[in-house]
Amino acid sequence: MEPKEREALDKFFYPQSVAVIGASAEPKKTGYVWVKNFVEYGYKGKIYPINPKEDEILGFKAYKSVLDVPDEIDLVIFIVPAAAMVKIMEECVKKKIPAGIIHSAGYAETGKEGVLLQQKLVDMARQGGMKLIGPNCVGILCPESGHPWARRSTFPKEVGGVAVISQSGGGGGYFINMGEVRGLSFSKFISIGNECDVSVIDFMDYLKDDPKTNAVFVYLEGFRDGQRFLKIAKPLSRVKPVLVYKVGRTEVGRKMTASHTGSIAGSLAVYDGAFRQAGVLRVEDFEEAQDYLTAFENVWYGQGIPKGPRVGIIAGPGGPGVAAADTCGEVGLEVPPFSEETVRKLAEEIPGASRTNPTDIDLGAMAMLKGKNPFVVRANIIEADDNIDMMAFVGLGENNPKAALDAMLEIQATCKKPFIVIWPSAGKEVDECKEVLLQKKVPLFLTPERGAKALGALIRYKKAVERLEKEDLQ
Amino acid sequence: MNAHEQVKEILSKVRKAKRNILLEPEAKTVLSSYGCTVTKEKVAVSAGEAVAFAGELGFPVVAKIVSPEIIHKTDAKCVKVNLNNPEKVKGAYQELMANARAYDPKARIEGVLLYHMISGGEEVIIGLATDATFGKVIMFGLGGIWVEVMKDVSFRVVPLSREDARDMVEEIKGYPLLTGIRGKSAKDIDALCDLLVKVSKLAQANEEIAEMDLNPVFVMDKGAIIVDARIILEE
Repeated sequence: MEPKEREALDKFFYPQSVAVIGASAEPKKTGYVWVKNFVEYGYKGKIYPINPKEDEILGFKAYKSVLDVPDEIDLVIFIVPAAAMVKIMEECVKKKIPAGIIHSAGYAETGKEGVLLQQKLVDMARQGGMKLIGPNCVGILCPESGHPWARRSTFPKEVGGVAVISQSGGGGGYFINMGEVRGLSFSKFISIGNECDVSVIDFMDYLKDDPKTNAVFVYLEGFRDGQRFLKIAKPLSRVKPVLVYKVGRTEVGRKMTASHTGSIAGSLAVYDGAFRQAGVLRVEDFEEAQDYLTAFENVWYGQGIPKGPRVGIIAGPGGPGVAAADTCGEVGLEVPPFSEETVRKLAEEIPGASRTNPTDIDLGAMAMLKGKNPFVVRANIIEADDNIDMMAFVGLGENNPKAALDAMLEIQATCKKPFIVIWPSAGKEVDECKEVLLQKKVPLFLTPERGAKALGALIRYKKAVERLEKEDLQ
Repeated sequence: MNAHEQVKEILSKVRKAKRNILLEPEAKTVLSSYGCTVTKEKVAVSAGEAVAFAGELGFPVVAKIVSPEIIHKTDAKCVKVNLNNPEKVKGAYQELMANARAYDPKARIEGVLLYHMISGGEEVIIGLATDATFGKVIMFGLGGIWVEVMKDVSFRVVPLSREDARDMVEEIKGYPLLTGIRGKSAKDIDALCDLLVKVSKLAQANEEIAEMDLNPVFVMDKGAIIVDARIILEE
């Protein structure tokens, strides 16, 4: 992305000053909530509420028009009816505001007149050098700068590495709130709305060079320009993982075709192929996306990139260990036998222990071994095995969750190979221990299958990057 | 005349004839201009010629009607397979002509296409379609029920890299049929990937080609041969 273009988009996330047109003193209105969110989110820049009928909103001096604001304005948020927009846009262009978020609905999604109005506003903005997102969106979320969305829900305070671009404001909002509970933290969130000016693909391009973003999640209805998606997504995937949840599985307006191929080519199948070409991972739902993002944030970026696909499984109860192994096989991972050296050491240090992979621990009889937790003893032995690239600890039980927690934290502090924790139990004490694991950024998964699939995603991505590199050399 | 010019000439000839679907021999010439292997074939305009050509091509042969009006040749009973001696070829020629006239009395018949019938390969399909979002896309799948019923196909957007071609072949569930299972020999997957890349190049260089069906393509122990091909131009 051109530096000039990048600086222009920076204004959406790091504005020095924000004008909120349609700001309100009425707590039920979005114009009130949004200004209040700026205050509560800790935004440090200047806030200019614009409302001809008010003198003051939430302690900020209100202005009749942006033209009355004595300062420069970096970003304008429009919370006004579509019918009033043309005049307001004229003023904003005159004020030379470089970025705008149109929150309100009532444009291209409503029919022909809406399309025309939206296009008129875009033309005016472009002529005036203003970038637009929306209409029909909940805005931006940037925990780093304290730039909040319009939603009435909570917002994540912690700055993290996941960026989210969403073609649904509500859907994207749910994703962020669910992700927080899941232990994820975010760099940026963009609700793109009708995508009248700046597009999903533009923001993908922007995020490629964003130092705060490790991984990108896109909640997608569809791209305008599939060829440009491939052009932008390939170099993006080379440097950071991209996950896409594609909704809207039926195709509208597909041309009738005379060939066999044309009749089979459903749009989802074509998207799938394009995603694979671009090195993008398609996910089936939010949970899968959040599992994968957990693996990327806490394993790939936190612990390190697995050298290969071979998983050592250390299970409490045997069953979940086998379930994890099954899923590993299905997603292209391997669960190889341990080396002779490992088998010998396991026999030596833990009499009666199973020496196969998965290896399981009798949790009922789980006793400390020479003052050490049996998970830690096994982890230390298996970590040194050259046949194993990463480990999964499955089913830590509920008998002594505190001991299991301490073991996992000890492993996190000392283990040099990537690992995940799969802990399906529940209950007050277990939940408290899990909360600590989330806070400490230990990659935690709820079921063996989901954990194994997330490890599979790491290897799929690793292969995708290798493929893109190879392609570049051709 | 280079490959590109040769293809352009065929396409403009088709346009001049006010058609947008290439005849099978035209489609195969277009494909072979881009280095794709197609069945060796000849078009006979008499029963005697058909017998002579069959001898040259080698028995058994397949015989099909060539007519711009008869696109779905199987439905029109205009295909005869496994013709393994001169009598059968002669009989097939006459039967095909009669069937074609019965199917469409006004059809312009340009002759009977003959080619050597291939065996021992794995049947696959390669297709091209124009997608509203991505533009030209290539489809790959195994032949027969694998495509019709199982929808076991993969897509990639043109242009395809060599890596894309390999990925899309490996992606389908039926892939093990190509690597050789149950005592069957391994097929020439490299040749198949080459073919996919060539089809991509052909589509990229000729925007007006809207759709293609290469069905079937036989992937042999060595090489991959296009047995039937349909190319459709934009309206």
